[in-house]
Amino acid sequence: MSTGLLAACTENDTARIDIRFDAPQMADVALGDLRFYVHDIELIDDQGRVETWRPMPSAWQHERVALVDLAGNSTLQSNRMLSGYLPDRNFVALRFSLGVPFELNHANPLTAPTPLNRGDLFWTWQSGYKFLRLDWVARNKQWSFHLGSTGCSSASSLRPPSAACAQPNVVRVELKPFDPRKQHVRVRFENLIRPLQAADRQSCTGDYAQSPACIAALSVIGLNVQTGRCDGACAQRLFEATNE
Amino acid sequence: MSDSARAPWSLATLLVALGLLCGCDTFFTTPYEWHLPPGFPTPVVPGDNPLTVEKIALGRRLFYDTRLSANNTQSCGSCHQQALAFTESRATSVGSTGERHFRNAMTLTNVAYNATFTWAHSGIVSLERHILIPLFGDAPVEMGAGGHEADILKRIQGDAEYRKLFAAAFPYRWNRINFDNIAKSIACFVRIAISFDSPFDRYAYFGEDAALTESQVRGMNLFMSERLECSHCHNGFNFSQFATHESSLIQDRAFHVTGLYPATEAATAGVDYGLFAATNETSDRDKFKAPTLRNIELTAPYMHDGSIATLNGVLDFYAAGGREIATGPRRGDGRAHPGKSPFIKGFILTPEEKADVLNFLHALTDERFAADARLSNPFLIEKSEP
Repeated sequence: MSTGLLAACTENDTARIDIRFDAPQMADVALGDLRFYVHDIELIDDQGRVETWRPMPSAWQHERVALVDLAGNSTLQSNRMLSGYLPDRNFVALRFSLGVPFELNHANPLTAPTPLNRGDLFWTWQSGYKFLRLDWVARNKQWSFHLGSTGCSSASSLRPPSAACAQPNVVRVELKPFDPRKQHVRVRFENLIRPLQAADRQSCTGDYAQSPACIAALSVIGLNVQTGRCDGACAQRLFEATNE
Repeated sequence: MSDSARAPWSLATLLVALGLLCGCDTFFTTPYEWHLPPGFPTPVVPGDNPLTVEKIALGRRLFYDTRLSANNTQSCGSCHQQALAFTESRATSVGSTGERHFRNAMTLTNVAYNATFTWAHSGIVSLERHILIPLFGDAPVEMGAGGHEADILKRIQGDAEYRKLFAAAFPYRWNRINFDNIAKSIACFVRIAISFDSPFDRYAYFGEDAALTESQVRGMNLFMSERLECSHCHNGFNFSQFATHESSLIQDRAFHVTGLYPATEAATAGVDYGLFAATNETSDRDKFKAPTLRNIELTAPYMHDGSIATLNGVLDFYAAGGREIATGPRRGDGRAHPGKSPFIKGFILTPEEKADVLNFLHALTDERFAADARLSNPFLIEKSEP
């Protein structure tokens, strides 16, 4: 009886859960920009129950979508932590999608709520947002990797597509084991930078299928460049759980 | 003395004290309402300089008044001409004493949204601060007010219309005719120079498919494409990375090398290295900000030094990924500048495509803005009155 009551009480308790991100520095690389959108964050507890993360209101989070900014050197602020509410349980896995959901990806950015009102993260109504923007300086050159949907059809660049883009390029990421109270998400952006620098290609900002280096970079995120979806298990090498 | 006899005096004291305490100029003045088209963000206004109808009226007169320059020859409006979207047709400006400026007069289109001011300075983040440069700057001399402050204030003080305007704009301040209030009023006036009524806006934000021609739509698609990369730096509602507004999160420090000039090993005196002059960081050499492209058809010549005469020439420049200069102190290959933005990689346009892009850029012209009576020179009206 008392155990049952305690369990019920625990069930109803809400805890504030922070999901922290970091990006280890790379020698010889000056990071200019590292921002990305995530959406539909879920945590899975030790009994396999899936809980939808409810974000705390902030300029960086709107309902399903949040913006992470790990390049504090290029901006006045960074955002390395997402804060939200969940039932107070032991969580063992984290899931989120990298990108902006289609329903929010092609709307007028002027009327979009923050953090979806960033002009420098928006291509056009047709293509939507840059899901991930990575800019860096290395070997005395400026480099860029920008990820977003491709193959979007509409009347013009300023009209939204009515159907999903041919290559959505949204990836569902699962980190397991992941305990938000002890661990954080490490963003291994060097895995994106290496294939691009190896090919000595300056940028990869669309037309991903046109270059072997871009194809390699997309595979780091687990994406098949032809389908814009992940092959099988979505084996991505950009995000990992870390205790450090 | 009875309490009732003292009351009016107390009331006046109280009101003045209230005005001083609240520190705002909105007491007894009329707050300005933006009336922006739906969806467009409200610009950020500094807390110590709220927009009022009275300050805007005063700022308009000051903006166009040559008495603000030491030798009575030049106003803000001399180089920022409304018909040219508040620019001028000179490559680089000439100050009131005849000294040649090293930069092209920037447009004031939507200047209220600028996060930083001038072509290349990361530290000038308010209009009130910026306005002091043309007023007092001495390298080069623009309006040349430095050292002539008392003379200039005397001229303003001697003008009954100004005494009226200052009293209305700063109702409870003593010694209200000063340069702080002058800069604040001019800032209020230029903040209302808002331009969102171009054919592009009608197409993009108000759903009017017929607002753009087919050629302009093709040009817009090219402008937004990864092939041309224009929109990487000229993006957002103001076609500039430097737009900030009330609901924006943060502002990026985005200055770029375009390949206009070659890189130089050692900085040479007298050469404009852009952001480098403000930060002294070698990596900031030759970096300038991407200005708004709104009304770009009206603002020729182009680039920070006006060194490209036409939009056609600007397209050729970006198509070539920069330019090579054969002679002179800055000769060399700008295309090979190691700090050049990765988005300036060159492109090939057919003549038809080039015409499409130019037609699209013309669709950013807001005819109403260039002729808006609220932004016009009030002295022309005063003169024409009998």
